[in-house]
Amino acid sequence: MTHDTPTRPSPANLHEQLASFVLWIDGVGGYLVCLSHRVTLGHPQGETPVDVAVIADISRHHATIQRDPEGYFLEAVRKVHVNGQAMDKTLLRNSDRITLGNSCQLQFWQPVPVSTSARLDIVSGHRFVQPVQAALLMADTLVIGPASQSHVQVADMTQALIVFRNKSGLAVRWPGPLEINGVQHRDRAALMPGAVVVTEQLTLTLERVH
Amino acid sequence: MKFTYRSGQEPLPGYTIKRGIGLGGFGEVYFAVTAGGKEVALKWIRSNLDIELRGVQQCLNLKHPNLVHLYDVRADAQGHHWLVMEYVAGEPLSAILARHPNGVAPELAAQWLQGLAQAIHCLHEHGIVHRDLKPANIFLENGIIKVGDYGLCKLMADSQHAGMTKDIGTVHYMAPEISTGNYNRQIDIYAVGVLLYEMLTGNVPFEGESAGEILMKHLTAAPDLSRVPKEFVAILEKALTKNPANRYASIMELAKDVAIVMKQPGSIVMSLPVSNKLPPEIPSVIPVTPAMLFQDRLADLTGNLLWAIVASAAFSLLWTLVFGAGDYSKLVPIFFLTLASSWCVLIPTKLWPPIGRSDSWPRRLIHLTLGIGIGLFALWLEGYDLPMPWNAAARMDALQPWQAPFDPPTGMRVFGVLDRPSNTSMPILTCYIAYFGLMFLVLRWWKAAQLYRGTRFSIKAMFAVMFWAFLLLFLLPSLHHREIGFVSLTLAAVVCQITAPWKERTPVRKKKVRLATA
Amino acid sequence: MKQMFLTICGLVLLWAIAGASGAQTNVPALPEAMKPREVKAFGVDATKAREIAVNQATILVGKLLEENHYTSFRPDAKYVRENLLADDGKPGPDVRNDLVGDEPLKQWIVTFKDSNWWQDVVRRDYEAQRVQRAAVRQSAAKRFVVALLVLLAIANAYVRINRLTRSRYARWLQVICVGVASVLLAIALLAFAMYFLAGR
Repeated sequence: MTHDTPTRPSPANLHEQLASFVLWIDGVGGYLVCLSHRVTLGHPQGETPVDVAVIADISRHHATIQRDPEGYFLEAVRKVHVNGQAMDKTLLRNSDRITLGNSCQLQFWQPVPVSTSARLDIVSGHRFVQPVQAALLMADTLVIGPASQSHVQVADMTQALIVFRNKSGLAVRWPGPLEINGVQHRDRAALMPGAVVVTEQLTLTLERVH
Repeated sequence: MKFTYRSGQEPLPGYTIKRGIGLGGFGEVYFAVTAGGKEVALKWIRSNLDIELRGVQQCLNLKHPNLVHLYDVRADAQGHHWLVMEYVAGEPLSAILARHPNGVAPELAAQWLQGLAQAIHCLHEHGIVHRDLKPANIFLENGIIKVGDYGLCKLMADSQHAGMTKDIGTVHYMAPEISTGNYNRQIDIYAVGVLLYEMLTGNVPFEGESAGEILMKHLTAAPDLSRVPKEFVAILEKALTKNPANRYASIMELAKDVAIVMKQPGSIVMSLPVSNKLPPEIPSVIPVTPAMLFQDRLADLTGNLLWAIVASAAFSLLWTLVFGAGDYSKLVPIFFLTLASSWCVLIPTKLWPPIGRSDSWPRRLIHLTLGIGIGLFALWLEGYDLPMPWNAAARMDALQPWQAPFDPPTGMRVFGVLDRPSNTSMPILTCYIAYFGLMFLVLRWWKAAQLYRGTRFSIKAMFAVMFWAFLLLFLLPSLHHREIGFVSLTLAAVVCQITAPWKERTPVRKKKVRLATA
Repeated sequence: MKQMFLTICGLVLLWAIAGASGAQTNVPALPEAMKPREVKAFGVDATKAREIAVNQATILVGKLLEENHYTSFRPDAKYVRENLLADDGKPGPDVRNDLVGDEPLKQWIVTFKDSNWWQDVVRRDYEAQRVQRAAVRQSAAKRFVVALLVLLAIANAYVRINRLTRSRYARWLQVICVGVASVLLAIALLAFAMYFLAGR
């Protein structure tokens, strides 16, 4: 343990510390990042908060998305349609449309072929309880870059910034100088909750979800 | 993008900044959440000028579903002014257009234009000219257009002399009269015209390396409307007119014309597009790919050419049956020449923009070339050998003066008068080239196949062709040739008009004549 | 009157061009040695003999044309009588032939014109060649237009159906269209081959 990274999470408390967080990217948007392999979807009014809360006409716990070695399984707790078909449990594929209840519709994306991380967009005009654009179900890596094969596409960038998991928690990789909470790093650095990452092309902030 | 404030900071008490949204011409824009949980956009107005704030204050209480609402103007501890606005979750039109480099579907563009027009109409009704309409200031939230950055623009237009402005993105939407210091609502209509053009094609009408170059084009160049869907051509022509007096008098007039050509309902009901039971799988933005446009054109052209074949066959058969007096020998050449002539009119006309008072001479010259080609084709059909470089050995009988047939032809009643060979000194090649070439040069054939022609079938046009075809008949050596030439060109005029698609031109609004009261 | 002015300009130009190339058709003259002078024929009576004489003159001219490789025009008796022969001809001395019978055969002699009728005959051959070429070309053009019609119809049908089905079956449609086009092409080629072989 070095003194300059006192808040670096240990593997034991990683999930407790980073069950989910909001990634604020200046000039681009906000993203809810869920690290757990099991993500619950529902209305935010419940006593036990769900991971991905959507303000819509749905139940407090409406469905669960589980990441398995085969892929993402959607388990319905209440009425769920995938691509218009009623489902109890199904394997999700890229660009599937998930309808929760009668009106709330999400679209499931796995834009990066080499990464199992996925992205959930709301396509029915509803909103997440956090003011974010999309929910990112992070498996190993998150790619923020100029290509369309990125979890977050930023057209102005010339290279991709990658957030990834390592033994001690989360880390970021960027080909060039980067600054985290005012400390200079090169190429890669550990991430902690509340970190402000500044690179030449991108500024992003990790905010814990309470 | 580098922002002054970071996520979590609270420069304005009560508003916690979450992230930067963008850097505008007036300052930085942030997404912030109030203590109570309300999401707002904060605009940090760097230039602290009374005149600017006054402009904002005029707009603070405007209410319209298509306008980004302004909540308040506040000053922070440093004396900086912050404009508190509605946060629009959608993306700016600039981002959408960047994703669709060939423009969006005309239906979508028309729908967005209605929202845009409603917002600008509201501003104009309140005596405010936006002055800085551009895709970066227009947002799309759940399918609803939101126009932002109004009220701030007065200063910009006044302080930054046109042509000196640094922001080249703004210059693309500047009406030509801005160079003379004329800033009335007509400039917004011009900008909407530019926006409509950009939505339909993916590009602004005037592009250039420098602001000066673009402004010069706004002042002098005519927009290239050939890439625009044809129903919008007349509208854009009027919206992008250089002279503000000839432009649409109000934005709603433009919106109405768009609604008419797109057959939209007169007014659009504004409501949150909450999806129904199972929302149809329609992406929010339908990209118009070049493939679609190409397919449409292909369908149009192939259908047209197909009908031209059928019509040519039908009319040449009809002619032969009615006037041929049982002589079917001319049926085949008449059919082929009718077909060739009508294709030579239909194909280039398809490639040319449907309207436009462009110079007719380039078109005439192209037609002349095609006409000469038809003359050569006619000769080939008649069995004459053309003097070709590769068969120099062949007898160049097409270059020989035409010699009267050995047996006098069976007289045609219609051309009884003309049943007399006239010029036996001219080579048959010259005869044919002269006849068809001149026929295509003297007449504006494209008028017979244009999309927006007065009526679908004009008898007058047919008679014009007949008149010239008759007048030039002396060029052709014998009755046989004369009949084929005259009949095939007349039939071509009929076939072109019948087969070319036709649309009624949107009626040009008559200027209201105001009677001066004495 | 821009149109009028233009027309007149064009005409002046054309006349200039026309004047430059106003040469007459050059028909190679028939060698004096090959030129037929007269034809003698025999018949049971004068009328018959005259008929035969004209026919033989016709055959002679035909042969002459063939020898000179003019194969398209074959004069008929009427044409020969009216255009190539100097007059109706004259009776020649009767000929006795024991094989035919007792009656002496009448002889008739027709004389060819002295003028250059060969040029006229050759010109007619040129004309006949042209008419043949025209027929060949027109039937070729007909086939071409039919093929074009089919292709256009396929392309049009493809685009229309593709639009109707919102490009959902674009791949299938493309396969079908290419299939139909190639089947039609194959049939056409087969028909052509059979026609060609039958012609042999």
